Amino acid sequence: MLGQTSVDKLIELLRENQAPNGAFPSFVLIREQRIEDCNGFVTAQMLRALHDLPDERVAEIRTRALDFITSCQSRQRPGAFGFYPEGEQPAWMLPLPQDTDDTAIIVLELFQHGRLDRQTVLSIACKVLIPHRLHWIEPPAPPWLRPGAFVTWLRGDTKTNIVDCCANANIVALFAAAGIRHLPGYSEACAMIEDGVQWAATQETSSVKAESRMTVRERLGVITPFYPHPLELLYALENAVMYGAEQLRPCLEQLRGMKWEEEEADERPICGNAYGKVQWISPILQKVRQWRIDQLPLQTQG
Amino acid sequence: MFPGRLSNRGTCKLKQQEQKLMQIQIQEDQSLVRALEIFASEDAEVASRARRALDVLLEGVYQSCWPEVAWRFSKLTADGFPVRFTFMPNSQAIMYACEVAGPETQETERFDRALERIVKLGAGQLAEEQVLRLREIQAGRNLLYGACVSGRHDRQGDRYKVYIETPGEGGLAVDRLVGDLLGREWPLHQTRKIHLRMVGCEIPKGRTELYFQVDGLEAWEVGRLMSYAGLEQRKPELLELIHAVSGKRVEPQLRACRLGFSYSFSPSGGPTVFSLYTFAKLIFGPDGWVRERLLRAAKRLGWDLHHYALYSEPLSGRTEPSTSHGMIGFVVTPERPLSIHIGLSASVGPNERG
Repeated sequence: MLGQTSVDKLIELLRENQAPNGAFPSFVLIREQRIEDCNGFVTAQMLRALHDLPDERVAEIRTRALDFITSCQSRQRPGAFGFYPEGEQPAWMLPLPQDTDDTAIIVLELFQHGRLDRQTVLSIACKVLIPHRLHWIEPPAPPWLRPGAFVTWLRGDTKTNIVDCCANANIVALFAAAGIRHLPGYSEACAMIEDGVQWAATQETSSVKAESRMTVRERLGVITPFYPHPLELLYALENAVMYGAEQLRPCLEQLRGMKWEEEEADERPICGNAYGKVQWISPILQKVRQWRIDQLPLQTQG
Repeated sequence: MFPGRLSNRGTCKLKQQEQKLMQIQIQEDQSLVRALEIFASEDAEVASRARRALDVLLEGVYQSCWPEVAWRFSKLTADGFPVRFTFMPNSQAIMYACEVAGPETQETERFDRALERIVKLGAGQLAEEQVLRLREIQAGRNLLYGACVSGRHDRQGDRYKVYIETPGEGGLAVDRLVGDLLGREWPLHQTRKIHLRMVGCEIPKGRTELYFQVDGLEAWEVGRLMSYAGLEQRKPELLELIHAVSGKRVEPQLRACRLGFSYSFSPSGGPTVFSLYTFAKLIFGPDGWVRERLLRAAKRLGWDLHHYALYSEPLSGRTEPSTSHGMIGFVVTPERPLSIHIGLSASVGPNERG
């Protein structure tokens, strides 16, 4: 049984923080400036963090959050989701196309909450995600990259399209949850994540002169350019393994064994602009995640 | 357990003006992102190290109390952007020069800021004696920009260089510096007015480079300047390269253009490198023409300039008189093929200023 008082407080907190449109807030940081931001990514991450809460107590909160992330779907390209609801991107933000990461995270939550059936998820995987993969790799290229892994942006132009291991872990989670691990991209994404984590962890083999070397934490940032903090990769791998991506369990255990300097959770970035200064934090999401971590042992005991 | 509503803790709804400032920061940062993404697709670690360094070097620009002008005040680029990339053929390195403080910082303070930034990067520091010598050159003089820093990131590691403006007509401190490094009496030339404009010092104990400016040269004078570096026998190669790249007769260009030239000295007595610079637009014209000429020359000379080609793609066909290209340098390194350096504002991209 979850502690009743704790659940009451959590639900109160969620109600207070949920925006009228159903989103959960985050803040965009660039240096000293911060601005409140409502987006599908953070709201879907919140739904992921709320999995253990009793249905009847948070039904309304969940419904509104699910409505919000549903609105992030492209009208022109059904099944493709973006960071913001179409047409509601804040004026201060650069235009963001739909992407594989938001699509995977949002579709997984919609599927888990019964808003999408398996057939629709299969269709999204085949029509939206699978076509957006690395078809070939022309050297020189990062050593962990794999042909067949998923690129980030859902666009067909020739511009640079960054590959992120954390985003690939989110896609792996979706494929595992929907029972479509046999589809193209799944094995390649898993292999790339395994190689990426291995590369990040084996700093001493680097040919870079000592004073320029990056820490393991920084190298994890290299394989997940949209996720400035390595805990996000850890969470994504936990989620993927929970849904059955057993191939990634050794990576998960390896990450769990790593220690890095703890900063205040509220200020810990949950995502960012690859190679840029823009980062998002979400104190409410971090509180719920911490609550989940605190409660899980109780749940197991109960 | 929960401290109440979290969303407003330490923050407030930003007013319209503040949102506008946020938009500026995000858009200007995106210009750097675009370039780094191009490099990252080949070596994500090098691109990440470059980003890490730019974060430190540009801290004063990001945190400037004048954000509206912080991204357009610099003299490094024609459009005022505080970062300039340098591209060279057959190189995987990320190279740039950047400001070390926002526009509110006095030019006289920028050398100190540059040294602080370098220390913060953990890259070492200049020898105290060298610092004193460079301070003496700037002391009591009017400065245009003061100092800036360059970075170079490749698979071997990260290297930095501090550039110090040497203002006015020179003076005793300049005479001594040039004399000591070049082993010649100042002035270098009997009839031309030649000014030492800048000194570049690799950190911690690398090369020192002296940058001079002159209003036009005859071809034979180029040979004489090269002879100070023991490179006069490569003058024909240099003139041939300029001709191959520009597609024009070299002598009239040398005569008509304001030129820069530099000597890069090794601290261990290694060979001196000579470079000849001019503004790309003076020999090529608008950005679109510069790009077309350079890529055509690269094809003919067998140079790999694909990073430059990708990055400068938005400039294709551009004929506006204001240019994103800055200086182009022709570099003569002993016992190595000649090369070029192409300076390009880091503002090129979706938000490019026309």
